[in-house]
Amino acid sequence: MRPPGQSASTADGSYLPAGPVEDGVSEPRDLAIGENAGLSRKFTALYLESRVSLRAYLHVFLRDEAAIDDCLQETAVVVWQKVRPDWTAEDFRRVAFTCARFKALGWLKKNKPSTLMFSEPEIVAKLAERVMVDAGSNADRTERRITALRHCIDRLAPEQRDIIHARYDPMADHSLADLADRKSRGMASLYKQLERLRTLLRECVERRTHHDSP
Amino acid sequence: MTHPSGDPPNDEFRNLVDAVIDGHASPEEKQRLEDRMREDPVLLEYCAGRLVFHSELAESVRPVRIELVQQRRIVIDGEGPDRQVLFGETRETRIGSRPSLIRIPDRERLPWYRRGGFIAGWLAVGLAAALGSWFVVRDRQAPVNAPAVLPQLILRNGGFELDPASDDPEGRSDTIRDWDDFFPCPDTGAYDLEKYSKGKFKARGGHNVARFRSNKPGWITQRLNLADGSPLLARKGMAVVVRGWAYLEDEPSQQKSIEISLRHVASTHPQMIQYVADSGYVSLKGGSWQPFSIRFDLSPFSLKTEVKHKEWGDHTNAALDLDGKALSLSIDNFYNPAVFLDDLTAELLDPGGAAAP
Repeated sequence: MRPPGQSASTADGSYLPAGPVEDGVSEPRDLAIGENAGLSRKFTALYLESRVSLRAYLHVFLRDEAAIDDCLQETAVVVWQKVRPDWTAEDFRRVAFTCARFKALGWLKKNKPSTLMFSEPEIVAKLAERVMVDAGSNADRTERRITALRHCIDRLAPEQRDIIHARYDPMADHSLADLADRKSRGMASLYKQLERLRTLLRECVERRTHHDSP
Repeated sequence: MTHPSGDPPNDEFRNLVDAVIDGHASPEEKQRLEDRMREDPVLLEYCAGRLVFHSELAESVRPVRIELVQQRRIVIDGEGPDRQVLFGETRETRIGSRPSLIRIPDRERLPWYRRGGFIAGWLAVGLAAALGSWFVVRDRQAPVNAPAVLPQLILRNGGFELDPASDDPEGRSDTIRDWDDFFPCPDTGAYDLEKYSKGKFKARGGHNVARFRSNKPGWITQRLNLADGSPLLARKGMAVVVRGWAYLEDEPSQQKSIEISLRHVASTHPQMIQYVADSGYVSLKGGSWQPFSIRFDLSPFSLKTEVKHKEWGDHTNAALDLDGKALSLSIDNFYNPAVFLDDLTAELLDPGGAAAP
């Protein structure tokens, strides 16, 4: 862990705002009353803007959805400890993605899963970098796309929504395997339907976001 | 990079990428994908975009909810002229909902104000009674040569009033403040009972209750701490009593039980390993609020205990001597009709250890 005041660099050579990067977070400085409220709002806005990309970034390293949730949570808490009022969105992303990487690698080291998401380190590095670059160029569209997706999912038939929730919602009443059992279908058939639904949703989102663009 | 909206090179490649992301690709399929991405940067870019699209889908079905929770705390420490009264405040921002709830503790360090003296202590007692019941005040004239005062056991948010269930249109909060330690449960929550039941039920005290959903295993767990913030450690001969009120919903003719236990949580992840120091069952009949009281008595001879609850991986964990181990309180409902809990308290009757006979 680097001592406070020394900058660390990310894989692409850019710098990080000073401060230890690993788990031993620096003591937060006391904030003036009122300054913290503004910082909370800023952090929340930046986090919400980045959360899709952070999740995708963690998914490059981790197969397990629960592990992704855990690492996302830990990343958010660490970044919160470090965030400064003068940070730009880019500063936020740089620290957040670096923290996420450490969290993911720490999880892999601790849990030693038998199967990795991707085996080749070069592929992992390139995918991670692409996701991080995309986060910067598409941050302003995140909320619009999420809102559009929610609308599109709501327009699906209940049975179709169940499939999407079964795949993506850890709180769903049924898993994909449960649905396959209940409908007496094989998993291959269910995955094919999931694929068609994803295509439908992608097209729906494109129509809505282009339609709503200024 | 093209946005995740970009068209796949072909359907076969898209299906291959999705199979890997969904987690059902064979090792050969994964290798084929990685080989193709290595050869063609456009395919790698598409895969990155597809990961983002999957992430968008995951975020879309998880409602984002932001709660700002504020707590005020008063601690009265000591007696007589040495009494100190401490005031403080904490805030926490919560983003999301279980299981991906993110808690952002407030960084603002509001100072703890100290007020010495007897009069300030009584004023603080009055104010604390008005604010709520999650700390314990002990104020008595100690006789000369009295035995040492028992450490005070604190049960936080025993009335579940700290949760903002009333702010929710349905009167429910998916989290129960201070009761999600170790193992948050998706099938319990804090409910503004009158609002949630549209007047059919009322909380025993205040507005809120903890509710265990029907026909699902549900639990609430809280690390037990003493008034000085230190954990309650198991000791031989220790005695603790837990009291409260419970209501079995919708089954007036049936009798069901909930389990209440003192546990030591040895591990949460990747293996869940729990030891039970002592436990008991509360029998409930439907139709009305029932008081209950369960006394836990730890053995005065040995606290060596077998593993009681475990999952995942190797199950050959040896028995553990719980002496000196931190304890938590766990309340479990197994596939019952819905159960409400309210006004829980805990009291340390005997600290055990050196004091035990």
